Amino acid sequence: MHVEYTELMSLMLDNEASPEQVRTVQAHLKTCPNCTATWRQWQSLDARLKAAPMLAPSPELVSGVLIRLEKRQRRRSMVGWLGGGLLASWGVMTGMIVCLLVVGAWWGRANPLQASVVLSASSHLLSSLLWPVRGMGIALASAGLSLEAGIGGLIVVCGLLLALWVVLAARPSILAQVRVRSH
Amino acid sequence: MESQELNWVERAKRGDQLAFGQLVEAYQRPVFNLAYRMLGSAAEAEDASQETFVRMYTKLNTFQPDRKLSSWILSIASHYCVDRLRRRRLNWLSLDDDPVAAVLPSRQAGPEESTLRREVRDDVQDWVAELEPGYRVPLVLRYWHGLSYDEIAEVMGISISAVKSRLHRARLQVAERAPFGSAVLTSLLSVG
Repeated sequence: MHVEYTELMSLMLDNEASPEQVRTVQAHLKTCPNCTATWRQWQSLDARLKAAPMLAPSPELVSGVLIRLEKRQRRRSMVGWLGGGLLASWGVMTGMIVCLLVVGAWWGRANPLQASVVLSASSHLLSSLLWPVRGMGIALASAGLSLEAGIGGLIVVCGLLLALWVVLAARPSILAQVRVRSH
Repeated sequence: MESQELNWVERAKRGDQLAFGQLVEAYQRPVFNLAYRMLGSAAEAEDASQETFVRMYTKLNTFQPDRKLSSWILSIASHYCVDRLRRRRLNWLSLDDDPVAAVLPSRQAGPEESTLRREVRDDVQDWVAELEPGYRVPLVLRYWHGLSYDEIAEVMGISISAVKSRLHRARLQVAERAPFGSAVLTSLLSVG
């Protein structure tokens, strides 16, 4: 079997061969019994493949699609609401931390010892809810950074990460709402 | 693209599920047949077809009207079926060292298949099922959907020369598996 001729045979079966290519194959087949046998086999295979039936889908396919689509949209909406709720709760927590820092920094200038005690107690309270902040705060304190600067930096980083997470989670529902409102 | 289908697409983009349902009805047969020839099981083909249409809906805003809708939908279907075959192969390889079995279709018929008159386990499906996914797709698109080389290239995202090459390879491999002796050949030609 000669590959260059089987390639042309493949084109012939698809009616994609040029007249010159057809003549080339026909001339070759007159002299090559192997390629002739291959061509006959391919012709019968071609007929067999063309005769294979097209199948009918189930009558429930259309309704199945709509049900599946509805479930997926409902799931995405729930994720969006969850993301929004998390954003709100984290916003409140971040606001509380910022207020504590401002008050502590202002009051701490005159009362450094008392300020340290209050901040320490506050951080212990919040650390039960903000495990990442707590861990990073310990690391920063070990590095010798001031408590205010360290916590401020932590809040910025955590806020950015949370905002990114919420945007990614809520994007489909936001897009859907924008689409509905624009139309 | 027909104006009727364009109308359905535009309405579906705006959330009109009735229009989307019309699109599904119009293309369910070609999508199902592609999925069946790729996956080898009516139940899997049904599931893959549903998933294809859901993905189509979520990607409607990316559809360009100057493109053929049928090519776009079949492209989504073929890519999903190829991914599904690859996942099936990974599952098989984790349990069995035989890589050949990994691309064979599931032969377990569930109860729903026995009620479906449409499934026919013929030799053709057995030959097609043993092809690599990259060769199976162009063969299915050529023989069951009558797509041209251009259209197959558009569906698969490959060049026309790659389509020619893959069809050639597919025919070579099918010919190796098909038990065509001279007697069988003669009887087929006389029946045809």
